[in-house]
Amino acid sequence: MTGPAAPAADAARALTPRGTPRGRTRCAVVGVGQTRHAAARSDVTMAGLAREAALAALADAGLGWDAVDAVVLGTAPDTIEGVMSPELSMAPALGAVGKPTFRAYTSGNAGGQAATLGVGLVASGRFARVLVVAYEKQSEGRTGAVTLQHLPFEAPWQGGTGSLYGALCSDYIARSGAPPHIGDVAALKDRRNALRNPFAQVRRADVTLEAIAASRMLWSPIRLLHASPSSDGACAVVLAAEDAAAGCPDPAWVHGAATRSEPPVAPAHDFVDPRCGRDCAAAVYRQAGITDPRRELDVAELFVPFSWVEPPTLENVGLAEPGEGWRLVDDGATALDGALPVNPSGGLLGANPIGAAGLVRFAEAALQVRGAAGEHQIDGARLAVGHAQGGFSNFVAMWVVGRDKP
Amino acid sequence: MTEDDAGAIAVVGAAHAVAPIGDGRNDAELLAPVVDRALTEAGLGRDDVGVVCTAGSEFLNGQVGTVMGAFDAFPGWPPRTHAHLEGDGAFALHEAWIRLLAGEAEAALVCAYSRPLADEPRRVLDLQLDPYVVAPLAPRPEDLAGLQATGPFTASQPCAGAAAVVLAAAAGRAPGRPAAVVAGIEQRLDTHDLGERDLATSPSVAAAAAALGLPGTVIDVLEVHAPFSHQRRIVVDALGAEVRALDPSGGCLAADPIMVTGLIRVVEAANAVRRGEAARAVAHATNGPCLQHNLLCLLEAA
Repeated sequence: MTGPAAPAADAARALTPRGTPRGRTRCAVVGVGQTRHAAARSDVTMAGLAREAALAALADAGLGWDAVDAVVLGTAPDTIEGVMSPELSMAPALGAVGKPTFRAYTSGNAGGQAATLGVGLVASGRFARVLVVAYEKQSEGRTGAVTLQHLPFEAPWQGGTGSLYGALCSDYIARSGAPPHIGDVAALKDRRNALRNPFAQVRRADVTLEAIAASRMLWSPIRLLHASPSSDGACAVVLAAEDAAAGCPDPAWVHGAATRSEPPVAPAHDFVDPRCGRDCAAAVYRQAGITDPRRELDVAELFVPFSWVEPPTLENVGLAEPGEGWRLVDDGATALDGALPVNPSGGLLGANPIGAAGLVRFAEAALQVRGAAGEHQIDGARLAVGHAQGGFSNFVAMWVVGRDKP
Repeated sequence: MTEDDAGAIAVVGAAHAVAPIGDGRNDAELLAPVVDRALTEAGLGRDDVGVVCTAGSEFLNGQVGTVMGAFDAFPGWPPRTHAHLEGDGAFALHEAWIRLLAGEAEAALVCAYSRPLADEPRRVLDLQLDPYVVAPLAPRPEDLAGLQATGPFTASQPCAGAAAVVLAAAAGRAPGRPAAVVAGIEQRLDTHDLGERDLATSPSVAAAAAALGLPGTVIDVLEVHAPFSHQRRIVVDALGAEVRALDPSGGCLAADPIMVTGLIRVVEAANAVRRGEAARAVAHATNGPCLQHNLLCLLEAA
């Protein structure tokens, strides 16, 4: 069911929910922006970093701050930087003063969750244009704070994110029989792709397969050059209802958007192949009318913080048969010139500003279908998927964006 | 139900509980009985809930990602649409309402929990201030509220607590259950710099009230989230409506589970409507120093 599109901000706000038809207003991505990502962006504050991305997205959309009806801010965990409810102190920098302002917080998934919330705000028919911003400034925080996790009735857990993913990847190898070089091949692919992305933080042309395989073991089977960096960075997108998008050049259209969560320590929680990921993928493909995602999608931007995570993620979101994800990587099917390029931007191995990294994937998917991805553009891309995940792989968000109106 | 109500979302279950700080219960244990009560009132099962929006604060609880530990208390398996925010539960209610309006599900559950670790939990709120120029000075929220007050004021008593609200569209409601229709939710942010604000007024409450059409109307029940007594007057003045009963629940001074308190105002206002004590009730919620971020929820008899 499609509700009436809100013609303008004031009209959207004037709608009373009593008598308002429920349903989904079509949503377009009319602006995309991201910062230069770096290990330390000491030239800007946290608010300055987020504003840089917001300004870029507004400029891309050809809109000013006044055009924005609501702001969504995503980042997590807040304890990394030690700033509680950052939307409060960032309000002036994000043009949020006097506006409805929303918050998304589901760890690495936060940027993706923020985007899907933005789609929901537009779909509700109450907001004509929504600015979605996500950021992380790891150089001003302590990512080690995540080890303060303590789940009820569990022994205190003092592992970091890396040790968690090490266990995940080991489990994947045990299940699938993936040979040891897969992590190296996936890492080389993303690192080469990052060379084409001017926003990427890690752009090393000298890295070879041999160097990756010989790099220091961090959390078996994850080696140093399999891992994403620590990053400062931000990303923003401007979303608009169909009528409000009419005046904007070159929109990407949202064909499907969803977020799914599940309990992190439930007996049924499969850390390697979580049901929330499978269900989220099924939901967005259903919304987008996709029945064969591997063939119908032209490009995928997936949340892969360690190269070894690409194969199980391909399987989880329905882009590879169970146990076969590593073969796609090995065959080069996910390379820039493969049948289904994955992370042409270089993905998280190019930069991993945690709270923003999910939104960067969503934004890169939109750039691809607009034909605006520059040197890492996939020729003729018309349909793309963006994916984010976080927590103990128990939070997933995805969107499918297309060149054509759904 | 009138034709007008066909697209309306209503509160069909609402419950809360407060507890002393440090009584040994974890977030899930605080939240679970409250969620069960709200769902029972609504006549709905856990599987009827398609959207779950949760709120809490990892700083108050002294651990990262508190939502990870709260999962046992709310419907989480099989996976469903779930969003978490760091802040007051009333803002999670806004998101749940929007997601229902967008047609993502027919029923939603909103949960908030607070289990402060520190003896003086309000001190943690320093971390909401500008991290470069204000937070390092560590002014207590009481100190900032003192800038806002024009005379002596009373501060609320922080405690632990949890609240749950069930929202449902017409198709998601069990028959014969009392409902309070959400006639609108509006929220606005004021600027952060206290020096730029006239602290005696609340432009964000006034803007939200105007968007809901409240000025000049009569409100049967108003529940205000004012952790400092003088803030109640600021909110009422900015609302510009005639209020028949102000904080009939007793308000939040005696029990203030930070990040749950705003959602409890929604629980109290909705229950006043559902009990037939009010035809029109408004709940106010706030976050940030000196009432920086304000939300108003207008509830009406079905």
